[in-house]
Amino acid sequence: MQLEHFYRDDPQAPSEARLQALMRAIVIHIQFLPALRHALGWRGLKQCVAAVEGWTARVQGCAGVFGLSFEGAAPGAAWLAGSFGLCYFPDPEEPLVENFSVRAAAYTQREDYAPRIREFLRHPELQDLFGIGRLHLALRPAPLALVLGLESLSTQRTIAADGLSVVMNGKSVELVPPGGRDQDLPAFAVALPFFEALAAAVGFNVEQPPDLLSERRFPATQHFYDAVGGRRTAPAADAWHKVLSLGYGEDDPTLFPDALWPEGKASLGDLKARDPDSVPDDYRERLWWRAHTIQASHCLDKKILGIDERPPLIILSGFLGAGKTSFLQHFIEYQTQRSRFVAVIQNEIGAIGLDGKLLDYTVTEIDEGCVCCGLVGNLKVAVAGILDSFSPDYIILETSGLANPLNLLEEMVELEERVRFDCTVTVVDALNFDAAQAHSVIAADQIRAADVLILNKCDLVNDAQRQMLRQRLAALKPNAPVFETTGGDLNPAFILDGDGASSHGGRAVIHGGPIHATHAHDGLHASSLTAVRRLDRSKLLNALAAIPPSIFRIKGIVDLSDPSQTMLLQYVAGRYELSDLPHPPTAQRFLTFIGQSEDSKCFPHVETLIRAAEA
Amino acid sequence: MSEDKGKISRRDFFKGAAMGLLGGTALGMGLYSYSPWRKSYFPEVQRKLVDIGVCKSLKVTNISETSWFENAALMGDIKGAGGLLVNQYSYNWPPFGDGTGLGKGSYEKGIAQVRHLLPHDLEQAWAITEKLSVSPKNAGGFAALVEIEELDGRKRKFLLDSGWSYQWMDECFKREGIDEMLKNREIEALIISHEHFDHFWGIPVTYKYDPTITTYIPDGFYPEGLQYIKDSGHKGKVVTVKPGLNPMIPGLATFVFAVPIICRVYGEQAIYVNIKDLGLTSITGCCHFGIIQFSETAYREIKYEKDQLYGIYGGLHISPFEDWDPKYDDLVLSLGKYGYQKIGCNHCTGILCAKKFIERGYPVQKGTARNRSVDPAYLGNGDRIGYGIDV
Repeated sequence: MQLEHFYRDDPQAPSEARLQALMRAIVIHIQFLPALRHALGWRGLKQCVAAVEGWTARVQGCAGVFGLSFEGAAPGAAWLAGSFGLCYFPDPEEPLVENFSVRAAAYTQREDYAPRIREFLRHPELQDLFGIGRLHLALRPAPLALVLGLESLSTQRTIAADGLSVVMNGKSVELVPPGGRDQDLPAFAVALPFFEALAAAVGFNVEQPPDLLSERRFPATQHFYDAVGGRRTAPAADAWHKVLSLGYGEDDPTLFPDALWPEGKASLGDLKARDPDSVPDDYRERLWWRAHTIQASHCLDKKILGIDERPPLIILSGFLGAGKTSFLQHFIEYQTQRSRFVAVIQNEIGAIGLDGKLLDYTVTEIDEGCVCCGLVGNLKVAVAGILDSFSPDYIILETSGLANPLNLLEEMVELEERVRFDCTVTVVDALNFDAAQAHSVIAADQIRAADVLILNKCDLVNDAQRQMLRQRLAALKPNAPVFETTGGDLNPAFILDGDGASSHGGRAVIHGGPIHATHAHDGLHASSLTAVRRLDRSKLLNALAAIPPSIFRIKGIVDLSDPSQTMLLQYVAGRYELSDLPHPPTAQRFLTFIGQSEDSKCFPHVETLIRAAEA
Repeated sequence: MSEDKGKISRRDFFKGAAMGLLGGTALGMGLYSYSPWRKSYFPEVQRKLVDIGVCKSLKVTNISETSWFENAALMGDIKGAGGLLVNQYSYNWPPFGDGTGLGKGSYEKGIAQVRHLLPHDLEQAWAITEKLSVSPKNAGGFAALVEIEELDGRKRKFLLDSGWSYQWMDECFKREGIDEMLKNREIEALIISHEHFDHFWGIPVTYKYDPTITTYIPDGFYPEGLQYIKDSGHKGKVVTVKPGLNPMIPGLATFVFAVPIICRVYGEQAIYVNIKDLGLTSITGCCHFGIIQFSETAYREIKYEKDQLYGIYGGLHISPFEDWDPKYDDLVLSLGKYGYQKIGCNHCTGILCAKKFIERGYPVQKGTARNRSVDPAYLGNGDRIGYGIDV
């Protein structure tokens, strides 16, 4: 067993500091890898600091939020030992609320319940209302050993001897009959999932399974109160006060620190086991037995721990100019800030793939046509190339604005061995919705294919329009979540789960039937103008105003005069944007046009307009 | 004890009550509450309000914020070497390349190639390691010059971090005159924020010009790091700063956070400067532990002018882990709460993030995107920012 890789102990520091630093190291170290923390059961973590350090976290299988806070260090020579209070803040909708005290249940329905949980250390009453037990952490420096313990009650019960009625709106409502249970919570069972996630983190960090599992039972009590202020505590025959502890590097429980055991109580029963086969069912299939077998990013047996090494692939779809690239930029930066690697496969109709050169990520560009139009071999090659050179955490397939993602779903099945198709995200242009739908059948298919819809450019439409758009989207694709964005800015955590597995993941749809409309059927056509010389600024603006409506989209890099500037031009259906490009990624000056091929005159016409603007 | 089958759902009851005539805060008050786990709970945040003294002004010069030049190459290397939990000294990156390839290196084998040349012949050392290392041209580095003006007018200089590439950092040092300042012993100390390659591995460049400079490192360095300080030709004092507050000179203190960081590193040190009539300014290398944590720590630990968090410089991470509620996982929203008056951000902050600060109207001082810094939203290489002083 080792600590070195994740915690540096300072024997001279005060015990309180060492214990909080050790707990901090245990939980933080496993958060760096999404697949790892997901596999260990973690679903999100937040630090909460007041006079002591605390944590709030979600773990798998529990709808609510756990709260952990440092209580204090216990005196002792051989062991550094201390305890952490544990709370569970149930989700306001979950049935478990009924088992908490009436006062706690009331608290869960407050409007400010959620933000208060995040700062629970500043609200002492929260620990009173939602406390479910205690975690013990102990470290013995030599010989090196660590003990993690959970102390809780099988049933945490408070009885209202005279019942409990609440007056609301002038009426008295009996919530608890006389002698009935105010709080009746299976606290130990509620705490166990958190203990499991924490123990799995310990096991991974110290790189070994527990040497000993010990469960000790002590007599439990229940609490009574009456209407006139009487309080008493009496034995509860049907409940246990339990301490479950796992020893790493120490398998003799008599050597565990005394701080683990409740003071003044004699143990009623002792369970000791050194491997999962000799424990009761409840402790058998627990992550803490196997967590140490995960070796960084390589896993001895992925199936055991449910880690899938295939990176998730997300199809990013959306009509021309909707904001796919903007969404992608935010997505990439978010992942980069967390040291995660995004590989993008991007294609653009036309000879020059523009977007790829402007973004700081690895791109394999598939030029000359659309991925959906029969270049499937290319996609497989692109994916293989990326996987062989890097180990991306995500692969995004940004389809051309004219591609139909429904055609792609079939190809996803072919790629299944190497990538895990996660979901299709479609970016919808709120401003040009009707224009896009009118121009192309594909625009509707892009929405139908989506698992997640991003309604972008919401800053450019009003509330009524947004409402109407949501209805139109729901008509095309019921049940897909819709996120409203400006500038494609959406926190990826809304669409991706902890390990990148989307909570909205679609299944690849396999059609036996005819392939879906591709852009060729729609009569859209692309063409490029290269070696564009410096353009006169005002002549260019006039030319842009004269672009015929059959040219739907223009993108390119041009040099302007007065003042001399290199600019990125983006034009969509009558609106355009010229942005300053002080560090152009390429020396080429070019424009790519996409428009209706039926109007065969429009391309030469536009070319003439642009050439006329050359200074 | 009878269990009433026709029991009212507490959720429904109180949800209804919350929406009814009673305000949410009255919900449940007066009802009994008991916890078997009740211990003496700790009181409300008690601010320690440690007096770290005060200074007149602070000037920060960005020597370099471009730790590396191609993120794809860096991430590809890290993944290829085994991922974020793997020991950084094993990557086979410069200056510890030994020719055996990505992920197969070690400090000992790497340093053996160049030790004899440190720190007097860095050109030769870098030429050798370039041939033996993976992605040598990708190495850049982070370093900043911190200049304090004391109340009595005396100027004092500190160097925060020493970057990574010997070649790149020497170029940057010469560009800003750091080499002369070090030779003249004008810089009092080298403060290393953390053991990461892009902040620490360039220390021979500092020691070439001033091998006796006092070096402050956060507690938690691994043996390789401690050995490297010696192997780099350092002849001065090494101070290991324990976790917590470390006052240095009037108005300047460092704070060490005891946290594990990616690439098998532990511990990070940041700088707090208390400026008269303005407030507290923080200087960070990477802020791996999170800017929120950093600001809260300042509030708890230090007494500062006007009780105002005034300025910030450096790389800003929101936090090392994913929040369980993405609604709150937003640096732009969170930073706004602290009321910073002057922000200079770069390095690992994220350009889009910096742009969002600007769009939001936060007081970001923009840079000039020179010397390989790519965007004016960042305070870039060669740019300066003054707190309490014009630059």
